[in-house]
Amino acid sequence: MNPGATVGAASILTALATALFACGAACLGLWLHQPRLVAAARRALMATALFTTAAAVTLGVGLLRDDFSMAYVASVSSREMQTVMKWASFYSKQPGSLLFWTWSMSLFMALFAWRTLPRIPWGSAQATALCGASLAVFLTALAFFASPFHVSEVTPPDGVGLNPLLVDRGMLVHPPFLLSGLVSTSIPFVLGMTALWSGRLDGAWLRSVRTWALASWLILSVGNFLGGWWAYTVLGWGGYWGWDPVENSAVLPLFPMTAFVHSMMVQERRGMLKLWNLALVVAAWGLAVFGTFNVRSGLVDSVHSFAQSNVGAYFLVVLAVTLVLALGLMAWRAPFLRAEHDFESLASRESSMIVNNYLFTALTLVVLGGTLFPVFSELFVDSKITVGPPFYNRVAGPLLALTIALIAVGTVLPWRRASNATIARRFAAPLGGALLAAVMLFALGLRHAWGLVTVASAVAVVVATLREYALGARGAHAAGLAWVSTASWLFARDQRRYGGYLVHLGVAVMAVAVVGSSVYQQQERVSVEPGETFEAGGRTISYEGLFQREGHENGIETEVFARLVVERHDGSVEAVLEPGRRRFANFPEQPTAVVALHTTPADDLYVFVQGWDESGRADFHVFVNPLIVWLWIGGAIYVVGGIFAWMPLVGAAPQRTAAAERGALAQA
Amino acid sequence: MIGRMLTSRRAKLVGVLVVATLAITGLAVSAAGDSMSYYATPEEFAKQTDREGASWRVGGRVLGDTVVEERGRPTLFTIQGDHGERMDIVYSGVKPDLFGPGAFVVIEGKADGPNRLKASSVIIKHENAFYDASPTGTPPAIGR
Repeated sequence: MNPGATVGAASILTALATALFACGAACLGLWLHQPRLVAAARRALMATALFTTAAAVTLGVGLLRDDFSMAYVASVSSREMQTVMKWASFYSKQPGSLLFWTWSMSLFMALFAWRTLPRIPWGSAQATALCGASLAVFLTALAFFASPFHVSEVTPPDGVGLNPLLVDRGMLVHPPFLLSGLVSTSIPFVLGMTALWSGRLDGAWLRSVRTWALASWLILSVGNFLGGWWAYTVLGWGGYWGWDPVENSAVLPLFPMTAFVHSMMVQERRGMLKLWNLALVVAAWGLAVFGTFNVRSGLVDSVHSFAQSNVGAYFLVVLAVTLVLALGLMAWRAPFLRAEHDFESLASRESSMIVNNYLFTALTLVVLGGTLFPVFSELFVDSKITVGPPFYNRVAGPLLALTIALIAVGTVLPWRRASNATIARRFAAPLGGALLAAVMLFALGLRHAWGLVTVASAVAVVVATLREYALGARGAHAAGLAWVSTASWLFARDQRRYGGYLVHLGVAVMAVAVVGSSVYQQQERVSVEPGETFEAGGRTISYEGLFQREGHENGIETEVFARLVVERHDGSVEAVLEPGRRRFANFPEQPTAVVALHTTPADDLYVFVQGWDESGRADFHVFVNPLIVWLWIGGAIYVVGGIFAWMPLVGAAPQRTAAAERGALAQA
Repeated sequence: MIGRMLTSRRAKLVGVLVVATLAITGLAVSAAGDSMSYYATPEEFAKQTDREGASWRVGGRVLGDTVVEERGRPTLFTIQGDHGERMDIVYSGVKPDLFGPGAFVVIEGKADGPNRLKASSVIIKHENAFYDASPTGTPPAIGR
């Protein structure tokens, strides 16, 4: 018997029992009007988090202690792996990733049970039941379909090690953020379903969901940014987004969640889009579960999906049941979800947000449709037909360009209505900036139509946003504040609004970087002898030869690098690059690339060594990617803005009232 | 009822969104038509009578002793489907990470004969399960 595996498996089963108890006790408490049962159910949610944490810690200890009697540990780790990289081993295969998913879900739900549930007496029982049921669904998959605690009959002396592609520091942060982001969409979903179940369909659920929705949107965004950054710096194809089905699955929930963080403001302010907002949280969670199913089912072929298994079919059933229940509840409550107001003018912020939601919905359908194209084509024309990146670039590109233009429009338009004079005054500067940018870029030779629209729109966003900051600062200064203090005063006064503007600035910067790096990317393939030079991106690059390193950790047997010296026009050395290839002891026929990067504000010199011969002659694939660093800077601005927008909402939920909870249960 | 719902403002917005939907649908259909490729196993590819001209994506495992390399780049190799059908792949691009015997590859390209595909891209499926690799080859030659 393996004590670690036994403790881990027992922890999962106990967590499953407590999750089922949470669900059952909450339902019973609701039925019998017993607040004590509901309180016990809430505590059971926290106990579930405790037991899943115990399971996660057990697996972690197994990895740290090289306990290769656990089959999962032997398949993802080895003795010579660095301790820090064992964190990546944890979730590098299906059972571990499912444990990470469930663990992180239980932690979110425990936090939700502690911070939010006591403050929503109108729906505490229903939300607890839904959390318990959701956790039970994933714990069942973990316990019966993909447990990481199986014990091998024969203990191998060493493990296989981490998949060579995952031996990278980026793997320590990208999957945890992405998985947590996908999981976090469960909380807005639970709150939406609670509102429908309890019949409390006013703004109460929205007041509670704001914090969670913004946190979910932010974590999902970070997960996707880190995924792009990892792909760019590791995979060696010179890009950061390939429209692979699994990448699509990761980004899909972000679209409805982004739409929701905008449209919930329309409901808060104008009492509109009530049913639509519920549909968005259902869509975000449904797409997160779809991603889990897609990655594990073999439904569509992807570069990095897990092996096909029964757990994929299980998640398809979960997805179907969830959607049927959610749509049934929405249909039941639809008569009570009518808008309190109609919009007063097409030229209003709420109209722009409706168009924003339309564009994000269209984007979701296009990406989902492209991802599932092989499935539909097989159903209808009996041929499996796929669509590649050109499809997404041609359709999603214009939609994203229009979305950016709409950010500028939405920023300057007021709520409800505006006179023609107001519209003319507010649009003058952003429109002028956009036109000026378009003319200048055209004069400089940019002929890519959607590239021009995107950059001009990004300039309009920057001008519109800076105008908002300037107007706020001028008002603060007129009230007696020193100019230097106005920025902090603005953020202190309305952090959510000005944080949101900062996110928009980040998006504008990223949009310019995307256009620059995709429209103006240059590629060279060269084959050179040691001592020869070649030109790329206006630089002279000297190839000095190959060298080898051995005995590296993390399963790396040999690393072969090419040494390249990048020179400026005046002959001075700008950078020394060492692209190479790694061979792994346990995967000798599956070498991986080591990309060499030289980053400047203007461009990235990105070098990938394709191969070499006995004489040392080597083939290089060199990319010159303009403005890439601005993609990461824009992403950082986006994230900082998101944190600013989210922070004031923490703890701003309605206050707890025990009497109110008793009253709510009595009415239920 | 419908008349009340479709106030003039709402009707205008709905009209704009309907036009936009038609435009996006048209764009999507056109883009899909230009970037479609047929997905097949080597078995299905072998049965096709009308394979010339179209783009294909074929998935299979690289057979260990078939890889012909030039300066570390695979130029010709054979893949095998689950039911044993084999097909040759001609390739002149970058060697993808994890390419090697036993790797599950998805090849995109055009037909170049009855059981032959001229690949424009080779991608490797990052699998949960790994397969025994062929005997280790000699390390690459080192210049210095």
